Amino acid sequence: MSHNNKGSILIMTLIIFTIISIISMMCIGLIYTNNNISNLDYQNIKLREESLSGIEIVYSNILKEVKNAVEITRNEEEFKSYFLGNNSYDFINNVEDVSKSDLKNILIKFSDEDLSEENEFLKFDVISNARKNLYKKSIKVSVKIKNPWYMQVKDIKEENEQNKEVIDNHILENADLVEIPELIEDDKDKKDIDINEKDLVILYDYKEI
Amino acid sequence: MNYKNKGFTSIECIVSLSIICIAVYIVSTSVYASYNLVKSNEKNIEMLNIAKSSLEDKKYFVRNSELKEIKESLDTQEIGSYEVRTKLEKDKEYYQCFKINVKVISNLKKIELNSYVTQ
Repeated sequence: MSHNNKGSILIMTLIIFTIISIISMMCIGLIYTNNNISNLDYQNIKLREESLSGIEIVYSNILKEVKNAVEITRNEEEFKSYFLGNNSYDFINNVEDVSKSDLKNILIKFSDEDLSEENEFLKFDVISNARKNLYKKSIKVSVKIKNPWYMQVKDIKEENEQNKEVIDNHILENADLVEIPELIEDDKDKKDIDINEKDLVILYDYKEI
Repeated sequence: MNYKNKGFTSIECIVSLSIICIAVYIVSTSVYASYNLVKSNEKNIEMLNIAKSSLEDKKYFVRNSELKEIKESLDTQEIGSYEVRTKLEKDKEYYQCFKINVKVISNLKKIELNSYVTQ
C-alpha cells in the first residue's frame, strides 16, 4: 500500500502550485494592463489638452490678424488680399506662431491645401500636433473667415442705385413732396460699422487624426 | 518493505507544505501589491476626472463670459478628499488668450492639467 502511494502528495502539491501560479500570473497580467490603460488615459488627456491649447492659440492669432485686417482694409478686395497672395506667407507664419506660449511639444501647421476662397468666406484647415515621448496626438480643425465688407458693399451699392433712381425720377417728375435721399459714401459708412472680429472667425469640424 | 518506507510520507508532507507555504507567500504578496495598484489607479482616474471637469468649467466660463475684462483668479475648493486649485491667468503675448492650470492634490499624489482658451 505504502509502495503504491509513494510521491503522490508531492505530485499533487506541485500540480496545485502550478495552478495557483497560473491563476496569479493571469491576475497580475490583468492588473498590469489596467495600470497601462490608466496611464495611457492620462497621457491621452494631457496631449489632447495640449493639442486643443495649440488650436486656441491659433484662434487667438487669427482674431488678432482679422482685427488688423478690419482696421486696415476698406473694401472686399483689400480684405481678401490681406490674407491671400503674397501676404498669405506672413499670415500663415503669424497664425502658426506658438513660440511665446508654454507649449513646447506642439507643432502647428496648415493643411496641404492653400487658403481657399468661397463666396464671402476664406477657408483653410489647421492641424495641431502634440508629441511626448512615444505618444502623439493630432487634431485638425477647419477655419472660416467671413469677409465683413462682402454684404455691406453690395448693400451700399444696391442702396445707392435705388437712391439714384429715386433722384433721377425726382428730377424728371419735378415732384416737390418726394424726399431726396443722400448717396452713401462707402468709406465713411464702413468706418461707422461696428465689426466684432469674433463674429467673423468660425472654427468648426474638430477631428482627431 | 513497510519498514523501509517508514517516514517517507512525513518527509513528503513537510516538503509539500514548504512548497505550498512559499507559493502562498508569493501569491499573497503579489495580489496585495496588485490590489494597491488597482486602488491607486482608481484614485488617479477619479482625480483626472475632477481635473478635467474643473478645466472644462473654467473654459466654458471664459468662452461665454460677456465681461470685457476677465479677472485673473486662483480658486481653491475641496471635492471629496481632494483639494482642487484652479488658476486662471491672462497670457499677455496672445490676443484675449487665457492660461488655465488645474491641480488636484491628494495626500500622496498630485495631478496637473494645463490648457489655453481664447475668450
